[in-house]
Parts: sequence; C-alpha cells; structure tokens
Amino acid sequence: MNTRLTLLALSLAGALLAGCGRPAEAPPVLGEPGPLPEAVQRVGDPALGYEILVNRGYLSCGVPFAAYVAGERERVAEATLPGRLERNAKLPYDLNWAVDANGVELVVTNCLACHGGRFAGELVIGLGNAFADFSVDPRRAIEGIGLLVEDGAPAEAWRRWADRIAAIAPYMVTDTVGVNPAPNLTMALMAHRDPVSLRWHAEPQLEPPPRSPLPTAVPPWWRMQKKYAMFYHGGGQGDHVPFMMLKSLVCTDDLAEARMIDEWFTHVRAYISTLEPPAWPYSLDESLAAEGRVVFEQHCTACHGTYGDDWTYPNLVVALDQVGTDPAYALQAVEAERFIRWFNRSFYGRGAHARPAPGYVAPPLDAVWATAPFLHNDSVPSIAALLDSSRRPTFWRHLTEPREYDQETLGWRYETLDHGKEGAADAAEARTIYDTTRHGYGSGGHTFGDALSDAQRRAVIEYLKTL
Amino acid sequence: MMHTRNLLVVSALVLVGVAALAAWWLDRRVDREPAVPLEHALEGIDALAGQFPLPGAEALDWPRDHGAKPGQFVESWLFAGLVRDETGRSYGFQLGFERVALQKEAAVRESAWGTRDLIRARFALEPSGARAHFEERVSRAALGLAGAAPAPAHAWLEDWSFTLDEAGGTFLLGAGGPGAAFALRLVMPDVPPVSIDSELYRGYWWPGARVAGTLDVDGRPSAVDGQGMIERLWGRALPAGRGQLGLARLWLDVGDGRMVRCEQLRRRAGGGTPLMECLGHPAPPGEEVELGPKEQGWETVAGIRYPLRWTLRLPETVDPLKLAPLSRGHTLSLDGAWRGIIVGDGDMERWGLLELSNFAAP
Repeated sequence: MNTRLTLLALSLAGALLAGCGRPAEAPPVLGEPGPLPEAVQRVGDPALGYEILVNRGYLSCGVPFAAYVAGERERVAEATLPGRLERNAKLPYDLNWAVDANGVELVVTNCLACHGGRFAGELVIGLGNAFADFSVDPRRAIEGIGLLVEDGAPAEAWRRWADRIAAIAPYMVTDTVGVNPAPNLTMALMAHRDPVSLRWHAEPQLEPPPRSPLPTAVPPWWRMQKKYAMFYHGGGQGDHVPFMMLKSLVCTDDLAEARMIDEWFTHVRAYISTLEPPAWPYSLDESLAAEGRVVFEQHCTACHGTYGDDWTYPNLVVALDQVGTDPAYALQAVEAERFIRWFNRSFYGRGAHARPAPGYVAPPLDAVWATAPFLHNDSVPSIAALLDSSRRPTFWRHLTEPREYDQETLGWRYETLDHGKEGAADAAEARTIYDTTRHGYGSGGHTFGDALSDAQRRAVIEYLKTL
Repeated sequence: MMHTRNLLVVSALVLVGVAALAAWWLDRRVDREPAVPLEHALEGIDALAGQFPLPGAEALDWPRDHGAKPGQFVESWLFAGLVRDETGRSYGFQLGFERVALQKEAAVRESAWGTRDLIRARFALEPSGARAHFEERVSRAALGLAGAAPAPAHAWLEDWSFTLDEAGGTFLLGAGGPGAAFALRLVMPDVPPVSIDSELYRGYWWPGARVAGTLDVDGRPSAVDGQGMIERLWGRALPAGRGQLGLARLWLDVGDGRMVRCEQLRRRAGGGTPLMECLGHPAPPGEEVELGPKEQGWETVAGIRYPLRWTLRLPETVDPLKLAPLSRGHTLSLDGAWRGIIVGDGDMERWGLLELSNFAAP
C-alpha cells in the first residue's frame, strides 16, 4: 500500500473509531430573551484598522489582477476612498488588492461590498447596502472570468477562488434583490471546513444549510459602539473580532493565516467602534422633534435606549412572541446546532460565543433614518410603515430609476404592488419584488407604534431624524 | 425573425482567433528576422479592434447583411452541410471565410501588395467513414488574390469563393483541395434566420438551406444534394475559447424539425461548471439542454486532446443523442481549432457541425 493510501486508510479508521461509542454531544448553550452580557473587547489601533479595511487581502482569494484589468478596461473608474494604497487606489471602493502565496496579484472583495452604502450621493462606510443584488447565481460570471486568466499560477489562483464560490453559490442566491444572505453563506462555508485545522473540503462535512437563504438586513457599523452582541438574534457574543472576520472563511485554509487576519481585525474592530452615525442632511422641525422625543421616551426607550450625551442602551433580546416579527431567522439560528458547535470548537470560538436566542435584539437607533428598509429582514420599507402596521405593504419594490429618499416616511421610495413574484412579467422582475408572504420575509410584528396617534407618529419620525 | 441575445457570448467574446491569425501572419512577415514572441505579436490586436465600431443595433436586412462590411474589424461567413451522392453515400462539407482588418484605414502604399485586410478561408470535404479532406488558406486582400465585396455578397481567396445570386436567395460555393472539390448551390429557406446578438459581434444563423451541386473526390465527380446552413458574424471579435476556457460550438439538425445552436465554455483543466447557451430554430430549445463530452470520447489530434464525441439531451427527449464525427483524420485550423461535421446516433438526418477551440490542456 502506498503512503497516500495508508494515510487514507488510517484517517478513515480514525474517523470510524471516533464515531464509535462516543456519547451524544450535549446541546450547545443558547441565549435567552433578556439583557445581553457585556464583554470587554480587545484594544486596537483605529487608524491601522482603516488602513487594513481598505487595503489588505483579508479575503485571500479572488480574481487575478491581470484578468481584472483585461475585463474592466472599458469601465469608467468609480470614486474610491481616501487612504487607498498602491493598486488599491485605482480600484472601486469595494475591492482590495492582494498578493497570494505564489506571488499572484489578486483583486478581492472587501467588507464594504455589503457594509458600504450610498446616501444623498455619498458613500457611507458602515451603512448596509440595501440595494446589493445577491439574487443572481454568481457562478456564470466567475467561471467566465476564466477566459481572461493566463496559465500557471494565475490559473491556479482563479480555479481556487472559482471553486470556493461554486461550492457555496447554491446557498447564497436570494430570491429578492436587496436582502443579504450572509448568515446562510457563512453556514455553508462552515460545512466545507474542518473547524480545528480550517482545511477546506470540496464536499460538505456537515449537513449544509437550506438552499434558500433567509433574508437579512445589513446593520450599520456605527451601532457596534453600543452593542454587546453582533447579530439580530443576540448571537455573536464575547470577542467580536472572530465574527467580524468570518468573511475570510471563503479562502483562509490554515491557522497561520487565520491568526494574521485575527490580528488585523483587532484593529478593524477598533476602527469600526470609532464610527459615528451620519447626521440628518435635510431640514428639521426641531419643535416637532422635541415633541417626538417625549413620545419616544414614553414608548420606545425601554427597548431602544436613550440618546444624546448621556445615552443609555439596554442591549435587550426581546422574545419572539413579544416582538412578533418574522421568527424564521432566529429559529433557524437556535436550531442550527451543528453550526453553533462548529463555531465554538473552531479557531474563531476562542473567547467568542455563537449563542443565538429565540428572539431579536432591539437595536440602537442612531441614524436609523439612513438604514431603510427595516426589521431584521428588510421587510418594511419605511419608518412610517414600521410605526403604523396598517401602512405596511404586502408586496412592494423599490423605485430605482432614480433611487430617491422620502424625507417624510424615512425610507427609499417604493411602490406597492397587487401581486407577488408569481404575478411578475419575468424572472428578472420577480427578483425585484419583496413578497412578505414568503417564508422568512414576513413584515408582521413590532406593532408598538399602532398605539400612537398620527400626530405622535409624525413627532417620533421627526425625533428619529435627530439621532 | 427570432431575436435572442446571446449572453454567454457577451462574456465569451474574445479575439484569440483573430489574434492567432494575425500572429501567424506577422510571423510569416518576419520569418527572416529574429522571431517575434507570440505574446508580442498579439500586442496591439485588442487595441486595433477597439478602434473599430461595435456592431450596430439596426435591424438585420437581407441580402444586405450577407455582403461584406468593411467598416467592421472582423467578419465571417461559415457554410456547412451534409449531402448525399447518387449511391447514398454522405459527405459533409465546410467552407468558411474570415476577413480581418490589419489597420483602421485603407492602406496607402505605392506597392500593389499594400492591403488593409487579411482573408482566411477553410475548405473541408468529409466523406462518411473516411478521411476528411481539409485545406486552409490565408492571403492579403491585394492584387485580386482575395477579398470580400458588399454587393452582391461575394468573398474569394484565389479560386475559392462564395457568391450570392442576383435574386439574393441562393449562394454559389466553389472550393477544392488535393483530391477533393465541390461546387454547390445553397438555396436559403423562406423562414427567417435566428439572430445572434452579442456585445462585440452580431449576425445570424440560418439553417434549413437546400443544397445541390457536384463533388469531385479523387477525380470522380458526382451529383449531390442535401441540407446546409450559414452562420454570418461581424464585429470586433469572433467567438473562440481563451484563457482557461475552451469553447465548444455545436450546430445540429435534430432530425425532428428542430435545429439547435449551442455554445459551451468549459475549463481546459477540467472541473468547474460549464457555461452554456443555446439558440433554436424554429423555437428556442428551453433552459434544460444538457450537452457534454462522452467520457471515452476524447481523441488526440496534433498532440491535443479533443472531446470529439458528445451527448446532447434536449427538453422533452428521453434518450440523449450521441454525437460523433462523420469522418476521421481531421486537421486543425491555424488557430488550433477542431471543426468537423458530426451526426447523431449514426443517423444522417441528424447532422451538424462541431467546433472546438482552445482545448489544449494548460
């Protein structure tokens, strides 16, 4: 028997022995509704964190630079960001330049692909991109890039990246433009990796997540100053760095690289914690806002906190039956025990705890006006509709030609439809329709604003513009 | 007219075929000088193509669009078909012309050899079960040696040519090589062609032509008739495999009234998910077309492994068609592509053309 076969046989035998007689694993520790525990975060250098965020290859596989240049030669250069170094200075804001272990220059995505949004014509770092389109299978475009890739090390780099994306693509295609598949995508990556060595397996080693990702909204980064937990369901407790770097699971195949990115993201987290919410850029009725503050502090503060110099924030997970919003996302998280175990056993689980709860965290509302659509699943298009559940559309879609912000309702302009995706003219149109009757897309719950009068709601809306 | 935007080819558009031709040409020109590395010879081809306009979006029109379009960087005419002689023996045929510009403006030189365009032509006659006859020629469009004319549509390279008759509905083809020649008439059908609309080129595929004429194989002439097709393209590029992807193009008369034209990009090194798009006549074949090389269908041609045997499964079809070359002993084109007439399940009513480019393993 040759060496490879011997090793294979030994590993198979080991796997069998490991499975024999092993006691059933105890259920993982889950979170519960109520206050979240505080956790001290590692200290980092915010300036270095920004430099890393917009310049380095923390996603360490991607498109060979030469192929990117060949494919983009006729594209008009987009505005970039300050502090972009070397080749990064010529790349769009959501792409970084990196060099792989074989010396191949790469173009890789960075965090801003999801965490950079535009408001009033400006790119806002940390604002979730509510218009990103994950509804198209990326495999065609990624495979097609192969036309532009040279032989040798660049081809190897392209194949590695393309194969990774191909493996997870079935779990990351949403059925609606604008919503984000990150949680499902992350679970798919976990299924393909050994939690201890981080070795990649072409075939999943765990039962993969469902092929239809539940929709999630991308929360703004400036909330991280106040939050004890990363995610809507209260999971992501303890050290936040490992959660922030999970995007690197696409390409990080060994612990040495994971440790390097972990060090980088200590600084990235420090940078994120310095981000201030943007200020309302339009006119304001300060008198009405003052009235709204009174109403807000009577009806909303208990969960969402107070604002101003002496702000308070309770970091509270509200039980599903109390908040009433679509439960699918939280339930999927608490039921996905294999992925909770994976995380807690892995490199990423040192000092960090997955620990989702059957509920949703009432978020801080700093610059909430900028973060439409609302709820954890982007199901409610405006604050006005959030505060008056009778105004929530069952079927709706953003008006994007042009994309306009409605200063009265605090949301991007949209149209209400009389049909869901089934009534669309074609598949492309169907992808633009937000259908709240679909699993995980429900817009119910959080009806606390229904108790307010119209005047009170108008006042609260004006107050929210000041946050 | 069916009008289908070929999204696959938007991404697949490449200049490699033209570039290889130009490199070969440049290499010939400097054969008494230090060799020009291929990558250097190719430099500038993309830039030159970029100086030419993208193909317009105006409605297709015949016979105008059969004729040459000298304002385009590159254009091609591909004729192919399957005919039978009086004994029932089948022969595949191909005649292709490509014109590529070597510079943007007309050549201004005192020499009569001065030219702006290069013409490449391919001839193939493929007897069923026997060795294929193949020849390829390249010539500058000067001194009457080769050229392409807008009206009436006409292209020639030495004694090879096609000409559209005055009525605009019949092509006259004539070409030959060592031991084989043909003179054929292709009468185009009344139904309109299938539009090919891509980012860098456009054109049409027109299947269903009636073919009649004579073949001469090893000095024995015979009358033949059968079916044929034309594919006409123009623009900044022609479709070909490039980089890590080979491109398989298949045109097939399914034999039940349906005809399909599929393009599939596949990794040369294996793996990955092939990208494919298909057009159909008289209707698109739907999304569920399956096309792939047979595991045992690979053969070595000029040192390169080519998948010469494929299977095709169309929607609402239970058994896949098994596609195999009609003849043997094909010669690769100057651009390294394999092209040959194929038949499905050995049934001469199910004939087609297969083109494979950039399949050499990396």
